[in-house]
Amino acid sequence: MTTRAILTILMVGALTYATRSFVPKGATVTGSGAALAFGFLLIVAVQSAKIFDGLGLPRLTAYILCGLVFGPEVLNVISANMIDDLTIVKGTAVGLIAFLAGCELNFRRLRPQMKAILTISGLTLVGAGVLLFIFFYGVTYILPVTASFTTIQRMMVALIASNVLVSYSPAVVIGILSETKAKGPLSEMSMSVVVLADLVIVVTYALSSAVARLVFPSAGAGDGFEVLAVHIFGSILGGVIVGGVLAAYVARVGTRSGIFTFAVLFISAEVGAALHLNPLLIGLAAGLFLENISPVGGEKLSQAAQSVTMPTFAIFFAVIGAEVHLRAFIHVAPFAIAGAMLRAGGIILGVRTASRLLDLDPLIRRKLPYGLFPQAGIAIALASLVLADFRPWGQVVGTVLLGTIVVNELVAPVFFRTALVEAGETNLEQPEEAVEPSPA
Amino acid sequence: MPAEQVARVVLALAVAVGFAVLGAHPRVMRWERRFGLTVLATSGFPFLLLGLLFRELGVMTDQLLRDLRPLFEFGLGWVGLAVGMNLDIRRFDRLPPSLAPVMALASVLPILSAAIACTLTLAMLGVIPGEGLIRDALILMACAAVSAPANLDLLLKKFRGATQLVLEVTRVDQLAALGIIGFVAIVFRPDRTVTLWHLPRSGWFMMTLGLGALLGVVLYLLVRKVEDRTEELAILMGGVALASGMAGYLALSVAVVCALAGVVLINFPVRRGERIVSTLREVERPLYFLFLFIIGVSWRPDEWQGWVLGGVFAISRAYGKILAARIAVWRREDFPPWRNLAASLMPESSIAIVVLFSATALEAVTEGAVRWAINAVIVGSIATEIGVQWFQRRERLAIGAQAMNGDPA
Repeated sequence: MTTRAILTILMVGALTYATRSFVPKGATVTGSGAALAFGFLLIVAVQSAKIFDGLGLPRLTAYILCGLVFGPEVLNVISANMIDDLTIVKGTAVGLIAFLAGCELNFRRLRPQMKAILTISGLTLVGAGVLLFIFFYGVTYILPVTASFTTIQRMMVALIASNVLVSYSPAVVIGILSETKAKGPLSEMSMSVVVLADLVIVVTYALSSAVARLVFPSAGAGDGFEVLAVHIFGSILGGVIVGGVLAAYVARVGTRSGIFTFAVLFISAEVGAALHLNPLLIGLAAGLFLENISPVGGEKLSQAAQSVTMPTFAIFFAVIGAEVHLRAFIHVAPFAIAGAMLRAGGIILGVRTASRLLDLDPLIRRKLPYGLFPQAGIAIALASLVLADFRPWGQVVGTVLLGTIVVNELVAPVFFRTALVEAGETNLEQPEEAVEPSPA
Repeated sequence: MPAEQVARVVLALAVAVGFAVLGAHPRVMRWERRFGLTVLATSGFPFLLLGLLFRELGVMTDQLLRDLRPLFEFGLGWVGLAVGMNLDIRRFDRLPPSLAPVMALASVLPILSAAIACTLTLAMLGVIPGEGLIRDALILMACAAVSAPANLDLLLKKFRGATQLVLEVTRVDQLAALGIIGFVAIVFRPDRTVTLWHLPRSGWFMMTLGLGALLGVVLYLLVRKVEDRTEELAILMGGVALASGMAGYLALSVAVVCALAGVVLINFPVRRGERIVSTLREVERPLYFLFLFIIGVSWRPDEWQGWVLGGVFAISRAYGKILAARIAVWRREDFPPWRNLAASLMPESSIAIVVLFSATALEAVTEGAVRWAINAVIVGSIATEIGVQWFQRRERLAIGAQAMNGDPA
């Protein structure tokens, strides 16, 4: 199996490399470039996942690594332009991932655990946030670009940086839960906490960046908090509308629901980009609406969308991997690794404190932090905002932030998968569908 | 984006989603099957109108079209692969040898008659050789080639041999159309191509064949040992996207290269070939809607030349089909009356949409004659559909009258 997968990767890699040599160096063909990158990344990601399956490692890490290795920073089989052309796929993937998360979150079922979810979310955010704030405050004395800052300015840099780095990754958590078919208290708690906490982080980032702009008047104008609030509530409203459309479709038509869901999320991502709406919030609100308000229920659609889930995850995380700035990471590696370790420490501290206050199940106490370590989509998006909005210091601090995210992106899924296996919540042996005998 | 534009986009998308829901409704699909209707004439037509409306409202921006371009290429590749997978040589081997010349005639005659009539009409409308006459005539030929079976249960009841002929002819027609489009892509290669390779046309022809065959082998190696249906879908999507991207990089026809890959794939000893075909079919219908929508953006129903060309296209194509049916009935005594056979082969297949899309939208050709060709195919397709439905209704009434009179026929 592994040999076959390696040979396939080599064959497809050689074909893609040869194809790129048809046009002058650096040139790309609009449309074809994206199609080629999509095809290559999807095939290679699926094959890499087979190799990782054999090693007992998460497929998600395989997807990310194959994007990283074949992306512009290492082998450059897939160029930066080609990755840019895949932005629309990324938006749809984020929407789909969030939609699946929303479909899993039934508030009625979670009500008995709501106190625990809120307490854990709050304490882990505060725990990691405080440690990261102190760390970045110290780092401002070391980085040349922030060395001359006043105390208030240093505090603002630390606030922005810690706000970005406390974020979790619903996409990675859902991806791991999906590939391991995990079900149980740890799976449910991990997903609930990361989704809820990331909703809070989107709002707190909007607030903290608005305050930071007052301290750094030279920073880009950006969006005011009112505008951001409109976008947040607009996204939620958009999600409710999308949920309504999907519910009506299932009730009235019912066929090809998976493709229809994908198409609606694709349209909402495209419209959302034009209207500055967040595809994650749209997808999440749509899923929550279906699961908690609509009589249709989310499970029906999430089952129907299963067929497109694997390709979506593969391509999304491969693109995320291809976007990793490896060279920049090498320069800031010590800070990045220290940041990742402090963040992990803060999360563990938060879960332990919550455990003491709420008398949590020992399994949750021991294993839950692993579900909160991963970072990807939202953290990268926020770090990119720091890079773009707070020049010149934002470029340096943003690179450190991205470095920390890289560490969490690559290492944390392995820990989370192991934790799920040890908790006995995975269902790895059950094949999706038995191979049929040949009809010949 | 200004508020007015936002409102337009939201409204337009709401209408599009509404049509998509209607188009996918099982009742609509049952209705299509029952009456032998094509996608273009029924659930697809609103998408055409929607494209037209979106252009008028200014919703379809260049940026939006650019963003969708990878999806267009992927869609062409997907449909191309599905068409190619129809050509299972083993099935053709099982057909009676006497059917082969009849099938060839049934495919070639409509193409020839439409080619002669449409070329003359285009020339009379002022399109001159060297400025698109040959290319536009070839596009119309390809559109004339494709046919979809009408209501065979009604028209060819008790004529199994003829039913088989019609089904096989529709499959061969699709490949003939893609062959013509492949020829157009090679002979009329766009000047803007940035490919580093400079080959004679015969070289590009060999490249098309070679790339299609190579990608067929690659797809075979990829799907040969897939573990489950989800992985199969992922691999198919990846394979089609890779093939589309490679063909696009060389400025070859994406649909043609993928069709060739499909032919190679289905003729290898692939397990679960039927399942792969059904997966491809599952996604085909939404892709047709998308293509129709984009064709609608370039559609100009206000140009009278398109209506003239549409009339000529429909009549010449029908004439070719009738001629082929008469020859077939003359050669085979076990065939039904020629009218029934001709009507069975008459409807325009959805592949015409792909041909039009492949030849126009991707190359961004919007000059007059191409717009007329779009109108011609739309008008011709609807006129043909009306004619076939009228004939089927007459047949149904005749069968009803015979049943009332106690005639077992």
